[in-house]
Amino acid sequence: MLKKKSVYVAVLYVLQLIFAGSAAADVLWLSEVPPSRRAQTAAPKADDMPQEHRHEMQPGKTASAQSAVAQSTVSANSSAKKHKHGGGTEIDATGEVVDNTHSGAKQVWLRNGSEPLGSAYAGTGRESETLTLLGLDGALPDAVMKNENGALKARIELPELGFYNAYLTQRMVHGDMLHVQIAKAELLHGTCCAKGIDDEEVSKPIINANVPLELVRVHYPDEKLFTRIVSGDQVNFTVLSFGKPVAGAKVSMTTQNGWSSSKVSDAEGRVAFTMIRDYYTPWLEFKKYRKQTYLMNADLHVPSKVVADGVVYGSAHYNSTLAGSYYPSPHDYRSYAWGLGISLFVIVFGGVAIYLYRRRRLKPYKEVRVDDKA
Amino acid sequence: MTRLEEIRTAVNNVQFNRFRFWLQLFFFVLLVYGGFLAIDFGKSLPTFACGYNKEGRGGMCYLMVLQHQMAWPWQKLFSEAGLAVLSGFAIFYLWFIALNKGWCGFVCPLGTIQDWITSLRRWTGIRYSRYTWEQFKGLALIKYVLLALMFIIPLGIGGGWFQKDLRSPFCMICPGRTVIPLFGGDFTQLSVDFSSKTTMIMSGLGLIVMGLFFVGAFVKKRFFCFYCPMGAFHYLLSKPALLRLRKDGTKCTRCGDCFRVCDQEIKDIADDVDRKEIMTDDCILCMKCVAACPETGALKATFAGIPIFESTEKGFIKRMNKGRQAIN
Ligand code: SF4
Ligand code: SF4
Ligand code: SF4
Repeated sequence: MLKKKSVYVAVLYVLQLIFAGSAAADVLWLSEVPPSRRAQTAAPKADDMPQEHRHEMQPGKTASAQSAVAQSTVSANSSAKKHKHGGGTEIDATGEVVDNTHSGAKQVWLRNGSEPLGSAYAGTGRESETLTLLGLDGALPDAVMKNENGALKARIELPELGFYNAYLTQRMVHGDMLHVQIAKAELLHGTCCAKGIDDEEVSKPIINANVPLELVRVHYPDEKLFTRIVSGDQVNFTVLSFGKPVAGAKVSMTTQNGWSSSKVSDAEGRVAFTMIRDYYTPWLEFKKYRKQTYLMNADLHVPSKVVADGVVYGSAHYNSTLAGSYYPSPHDYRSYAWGLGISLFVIVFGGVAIYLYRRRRLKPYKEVRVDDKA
Repeated sequence: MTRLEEIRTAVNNVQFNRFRFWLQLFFFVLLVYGGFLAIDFGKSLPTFACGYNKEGRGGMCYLMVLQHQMAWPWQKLFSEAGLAVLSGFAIFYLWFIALNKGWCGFVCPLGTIQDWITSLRRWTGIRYSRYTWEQFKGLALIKYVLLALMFIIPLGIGGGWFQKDLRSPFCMICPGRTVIPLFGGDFTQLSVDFSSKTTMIMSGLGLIVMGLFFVGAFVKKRFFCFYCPMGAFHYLLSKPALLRLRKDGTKCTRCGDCFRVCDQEIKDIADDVDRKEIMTDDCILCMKCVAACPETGALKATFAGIPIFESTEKGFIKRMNKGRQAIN
């Protein structure tokens, strides 16, 4: 039985290598969605992820990631305590991801795959990884991702309101080519309602001038610290390399249910996607707060010489991922026609009823005379 | 006459309705458009500074926050997190104590809108309606039922008996939600939310209530206030409040002027000559009765025991001569 499975896994792996190209096959990304029973059943591939594939990445781990292993044991106690408070991402009874924008306690999982729903929670074979964190005021202490039930997870406490970026960087060398993968998460300690904060300042996206490839979601002018992207919205991104816009990078978006589209960044590094609607369900099961994940993936090949940490490479391939969330469009479930219709009906009906009621009461008293003589 | 007496006389002679109109307008602008001027009085206001008026609100109606917090899972509600509920309530209470139900008579944007609708009706010459005494007694209970549901339903959500879709149940049927955002150009609340049966029913009910609000307020002064759970909540907490309405029954001739101007049809204000603290649960402390009373010293508004506005014969005559003390 076991043998059969491993053969199957090996075949799958080889097929994957052939079809997906060796370097880009392993797409790592950071997800704020916790592994739920439902997500796991929806992703049967999760357990079948070939382990060797992951091991391949191990030697490429950065120095800081190695030191993080030591760090993780130190912080084990404190994070266990935090767990009790229930901070971070929750899944409610219906299996929906509870929106935790308002909280500063975030949890981030490392995932592996190109589809938001189908990607595995990367855990087996990895003990820990390090996330670098960047806020508006600069770098924060690194966060450690630790293996918890076979999934690598970091708990991050965002101190102030605002956006923060988390990065996981993996490097590999294929012959003379440097391959760098940057998984990024944009975390928001948000608020819908706080007034008196400089929204404009704190709601700016954070840019990291130290990474070779970065996807930045361009925030909406009225986004401030709370926005829901809904199906039908246009979502804009800028592709940057070391903080500078990059033209010609291939950027793809994959929605929760696997729809995907690719574009190439323009001279200013911009790409725009329209969030499609891919949530169809019987009315009684419809959830308007259904938080869905989209996954962005950017690729950049640098055919010329690059220097990284003092080492010269013949060429480079950078890959960067960024996940975000979107919701069903209110147009799918809100009806103004019905709303106004009901109100107008009540107003007209009520007005007429009152008028008639008053008229009836105003009728002059009619005396009925009985003629005694008749 | 001392300086203080001069001021007192001037206040007692004031053209009260005009003064009240401007004060209401001031508070309306403050609470409905204040947000555009970065004004924020916090999230615990004892009045309908509706939270759904996202951009413009200059503070937030406490009922929204309260229902939100009551719906926390019980484990959270009855833990340290519950302290947040208590502190929110404490701030609400402090605000409330200062003005008592004067929040309704002078500050509440929804109350002010109803007064404007009344002015519109008066302008058209259509007469207003009153309840019969039997109707009055029966309907007066509705606000307590709404208040009770406003606690029970959210607590039930926290306890897992009700669906989350039912959250903020009173906000869903509150005309504040449908009407106040309109003043900030936000029409999103005028829609029926078909995302689930519960939201469909609740948002539909909300729009029915909005229709009733407009029809009702047109023919009946302060139509909604009679059913408002905020008003009921106020009354239950009003013991230590600073602003008060007092009556001296020995000076009252039971002429009934106060009853006739009262938007809330409160009979006791004229009939009851025994009680000194005359504010009832339906009263909105608008002080119109004080301004309409012809007997010196019979009715008065006091703040922390100090009389600030008192009925006087002179003031009554001045106001009547102006012909502005409209009764209808
Ligand atoms: S809907 Fe009504 S109760 Fe809710 S916040 Fe608005 S005014 Fe207050
Ligand atoms: S009773 Fe009237 S004035 Fe008072 S809070 Fe309710 S709606 Fe506003
Ligand atoms: S009793 Fe007086 S203060 Fe109270 S609502 Fe009536 S007129 Fe206003």
